[in-house]
Amino acid sequence: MTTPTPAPTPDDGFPDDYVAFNAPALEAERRVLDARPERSAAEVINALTVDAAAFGTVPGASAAAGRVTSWADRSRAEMGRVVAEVTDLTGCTGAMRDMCVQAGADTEAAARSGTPR
Amino acid sequence: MAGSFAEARAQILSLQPATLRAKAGEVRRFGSASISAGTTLRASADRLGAQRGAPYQAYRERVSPTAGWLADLGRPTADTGTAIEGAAGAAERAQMVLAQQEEALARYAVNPSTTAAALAAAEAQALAVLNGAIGEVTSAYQGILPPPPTPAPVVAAGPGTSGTSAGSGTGLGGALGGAAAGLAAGLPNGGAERGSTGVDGAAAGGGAGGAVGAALGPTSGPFAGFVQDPTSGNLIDPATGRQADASGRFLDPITGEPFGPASPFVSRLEGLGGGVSPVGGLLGGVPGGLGAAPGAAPVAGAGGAGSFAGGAGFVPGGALPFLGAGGAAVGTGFGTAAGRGRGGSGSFAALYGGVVPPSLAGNNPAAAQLRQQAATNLSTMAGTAQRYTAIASGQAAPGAYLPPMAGGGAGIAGGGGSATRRGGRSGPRITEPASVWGAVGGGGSCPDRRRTPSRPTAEVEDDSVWSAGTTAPRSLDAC
Repeated sequence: MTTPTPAPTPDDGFPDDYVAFNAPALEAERRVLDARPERSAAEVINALTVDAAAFGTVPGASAAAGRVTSWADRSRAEMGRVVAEVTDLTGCTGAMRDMCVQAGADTEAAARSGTPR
Repeated sequence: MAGSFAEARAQILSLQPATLRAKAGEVRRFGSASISAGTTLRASADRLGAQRGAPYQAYRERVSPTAGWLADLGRPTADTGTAIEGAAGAAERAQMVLAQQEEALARYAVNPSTTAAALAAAEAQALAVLNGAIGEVTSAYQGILPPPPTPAPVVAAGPGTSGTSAGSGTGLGGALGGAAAGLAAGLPNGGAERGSTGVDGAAAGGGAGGAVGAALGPTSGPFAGFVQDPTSGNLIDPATGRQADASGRFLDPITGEPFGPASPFVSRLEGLGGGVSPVGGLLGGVPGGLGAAPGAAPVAGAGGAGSFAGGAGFVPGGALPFLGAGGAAVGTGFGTAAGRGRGGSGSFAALYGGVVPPSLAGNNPAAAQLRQQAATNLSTMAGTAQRYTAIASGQAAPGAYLPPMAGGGAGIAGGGGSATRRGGRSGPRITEPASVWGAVGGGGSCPDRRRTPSRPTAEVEDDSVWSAGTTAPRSLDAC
């Protein structure tokens, strides 16, 4: 009869399905996101207008202006998506924080009462 | 390629280098802000990703690509900004070249002995120079190749996109919900309630997995009001024509060298006689130099205007070829050379804070001629700087070029009438305060100092140069 090999465990000793209910960490990152780190870039690109007249009438001016305009438009669109992403992430992180708070409370209550909910 | 001087001029005047430079700054700011945002998000992803549990890994997997995308914007955006800034610099240089050519043509045109044919030839050569400058702007424009940004690796639907991110927030929530359920499953009663409330359910939990994806010159300080030459970076006083280099040292009006220890130029100048202009030989091989005969030959020297400084340089003597015969008239026409001539090098010292430019410090047979040349160079420099200021500020005169110093000399001469014979100049002409020339007396009773007995005869120009002068050929009217 052979002794079964124990399942490998992480170095920290926790099982793989262990989840730390670290609400403070989540709140800290939610605040980071809520500060909108992408806002500055979005504001700059949204405010950037390409005046084709500034390129003058020398040969190649309109083509260069067109390239810059196209790039700016595309960048604006993509930055808009990033803004939406960060907005969504902020909400998700807040929800995770709330879940962690609740899960931690439930776990603690269950441990105290011996009656899991 | 412009077919006429007027067309080339119009093209160069249409440039707005200041606006381009501002846009370049905005583009760069966008790049910097993107990098900053990317750095912040990546740090957040790493911090939370270091937590134990699948939800945190899901956070990192979702945020990291976006953070990387933002950070990766930095380099190409900075390159784009640099390219636009380079184009702005080329535009500035083109406008300075235009100012130089216009100033030179105007001075050449006012020379009584300039024929219409010679002026036409000069204009044709100026056109070639302008086309070269325009070509540089075009080349700079061709270098503006902003790479189209790749689609941002986001989960949430952004404006203008048809992203498939319904329930992106649930990716994390789902993962957490599942994890919480797993934890609760170890408890009596399964904890299904907790898991089921895991933020919109695990149905959208797959969202997490799918998420992997820009003055002209200083406005303050001792050189406030000076114009910066976009080619050399030197500062030029539009009022007097004085130049200073980037380190703040004045430049010798003859040699273009900053003041300092005795330079080889000085000794070479002192060893020359008065019969041959030493300026031509020193300033880039301009054949004839001061003594060149008017006509096509001096004009041909225009192409060498930049040879002294390299490129389309803006250096003393840059327009000297055009002044082959009319230089004396031009120099005094500015209304200041008379004062300098009488005062000798001391008047120049007053201009330069009490220091005599090295090339004018020597007492040699060519001293008078050098002072005359210095006055001419300063006048040319001032005129060019004024033209450049007007061009860069969008206030260039409507005509292609106008005869110089019609009104400029009058004000400086302290009311003297000698410099007022060509009134009616419409172009901008800034006049320096009389004090900068030191010896200029005020009041309208100031005698015509050109006839001061003590003045060396070598400095007294022919009266004919003060006559009515020639009018610009009709061909110029079309410009």
